[in-house]
Amino acid sequence: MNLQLISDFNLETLQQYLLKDSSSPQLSVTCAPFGQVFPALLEPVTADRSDFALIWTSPDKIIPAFAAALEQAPVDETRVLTEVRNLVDCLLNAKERFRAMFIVSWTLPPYQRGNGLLSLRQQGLGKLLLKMNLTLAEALEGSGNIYLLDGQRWVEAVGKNAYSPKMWYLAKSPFHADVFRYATGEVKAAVSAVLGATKKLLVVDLDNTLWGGRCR
Amino acid sequence: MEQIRFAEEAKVSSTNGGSSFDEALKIIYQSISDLNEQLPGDRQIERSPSSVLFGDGGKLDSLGLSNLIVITEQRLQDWLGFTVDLTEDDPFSPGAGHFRTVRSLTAYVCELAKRRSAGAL
Repeated sequence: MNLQLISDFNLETLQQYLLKDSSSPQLSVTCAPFGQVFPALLEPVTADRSDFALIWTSPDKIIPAFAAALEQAPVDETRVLTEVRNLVDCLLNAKERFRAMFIVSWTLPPYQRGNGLLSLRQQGLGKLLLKMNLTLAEALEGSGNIYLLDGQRWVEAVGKNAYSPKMWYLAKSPFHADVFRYATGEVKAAVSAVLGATKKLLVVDLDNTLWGGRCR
Repeated sequence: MEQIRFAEEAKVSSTNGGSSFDEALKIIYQSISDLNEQLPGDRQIERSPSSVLFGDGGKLDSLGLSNLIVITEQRLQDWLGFTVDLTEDDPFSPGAGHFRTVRSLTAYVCELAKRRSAGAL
């Protein structure tokens, strides 16, 4: 089974963690060319298609109108959400190429404070990002084999050092390696779930039901 | 192999004469262990003072080195209690760069700690 990583930042560290991870299922992992998200999604179906795809993007790289808002331009919410829907169209077009696609929801680093106190109000960046993620989630709701993964939880699990500006400038990767280490477990769990390999253990207390309250 | 490694560590410890060197070495070894979790078997970095990190004989590519810098800086910050920037002071200079070996990196960290306690940082 193989997994294709598609991103607008450097995902080689995640690739290395996934290749090194010995837990089941074993995956061969490839990275689409750096920053080429739309070309990778628009490729035609080929015989050597990947089984799974992980699409992990930065909101300001993949949604230009959001990048403008980050630069303190007036927020054009309609344009931002239209660009999100355009991305959704590309994802839906690409879904036939994969057994399952995993999309990581968008997050912002803690040092990106946006409008501060007004971040969750009208024209606020925090509110805009919430709407972008909600639009993405709702548009992909009935898509069958496309699953939205909660990137915010991954970042929170790692804590205050999850984002690393130094890694961005050194290697074009916004995250500390710990985020990719954590993501490795999450991606493997998602693939297992799609394959039906997860197991549920039910522990029940049946005193006085099966053996009259005594262990023999 | 393990005996050789410990003997070498002991030798380095005695020649640098301080527990701070040992402590710094321990932090760097922990960072190397973290990094090794993502490196393929043939590119693993040995936890030894003489291990080459950058330059002739080094196994790390630019991404590996970047990850090592950031992982080590975070661990050092937790240990020392102040922000450490390992990319200062010409770190990759062929002659004197502190990223040549584990030993040179450890010595540089001790130097940073000294400068900090002397009020120079």
